[in-house]
Amino acid sequence: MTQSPTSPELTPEEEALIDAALKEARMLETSEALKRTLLEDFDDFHRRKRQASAAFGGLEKMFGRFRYAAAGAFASIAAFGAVTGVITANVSTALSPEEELYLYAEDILPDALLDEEGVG
Amino acid sequence: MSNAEENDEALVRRAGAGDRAAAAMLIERHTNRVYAVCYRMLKNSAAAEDASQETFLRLWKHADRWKPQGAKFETWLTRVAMNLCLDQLRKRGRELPEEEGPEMPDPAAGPDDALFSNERARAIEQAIHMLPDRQRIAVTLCHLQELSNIEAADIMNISVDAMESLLARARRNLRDRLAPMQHHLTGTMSHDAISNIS
Repeated sequence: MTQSPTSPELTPEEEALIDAALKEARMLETSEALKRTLLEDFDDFHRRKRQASAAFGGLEKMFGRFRYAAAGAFASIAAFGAVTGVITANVSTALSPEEELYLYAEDILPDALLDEEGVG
Repeated sequence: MSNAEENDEALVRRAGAGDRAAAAMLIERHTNRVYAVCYRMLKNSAAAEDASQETFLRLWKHADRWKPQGAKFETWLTRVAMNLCLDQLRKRGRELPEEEGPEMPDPAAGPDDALFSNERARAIEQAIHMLPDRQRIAVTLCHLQELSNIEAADIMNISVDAMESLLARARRNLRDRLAPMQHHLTGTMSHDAISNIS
């Protein structure tokens, strides 16, 4: 049945009819089995939650026990990095004139010539 | 305070902390309503039970941090159920088989009266089932779930004016479908008149 767009407004009697029908339709009930299933779902959910919580607690405990070791390792790495930085910062000292000359000769002369004349 | 007096919000908090008795009380209070919304939206009892289960699973997941935020718990739960049903309808492209209206025997009635009552109830359910989707949802929320127009409009994401218009159209539609059983609804109609509307 398709409602006409010009369907007239409801009379008070029709309003009462619809209200009575809807009141009756309201009594829609579900099974006890569904309620039991919902409660089982609740139990499952909280069982899984407790298990996950226990697993997370174990990890936290383990990491808690080694927290000083982790902090020590981190400090060592940081110190090593700092020392390396200091050492490499001091390697680029200025060359003496003789060293400059030697490096210049090494750049422009073929290796074979340097070997023969005993310069290399 | 006993469970019967405890409000939903307090029960949700307790259920969130793993209190089984609180969860059982919430289930007892709200399953029929949630199921009714799902059934009337999906028109299929198995799908409605699945959607009810999913609705309560969402509740258990959010229970420990659920906050009212202006809405009643019941409104929130109805919205969850409705959104899940809308998702299902979209995903399945409305391929779910539709069922006849459920049978609801009246325990106070005799055998003949029970049959009569079942036919009447089924006819009413069918009339609701045959409404266009949005009208059926509006009727379900406002008349069957007894939410206010404001709450229902909020759940359906429409204005209150649009909700009132939907309800008016739905009621006119129901009038057209239920007219043959008008006398029966007031207690004097024959069996033949009811069977004519199915």
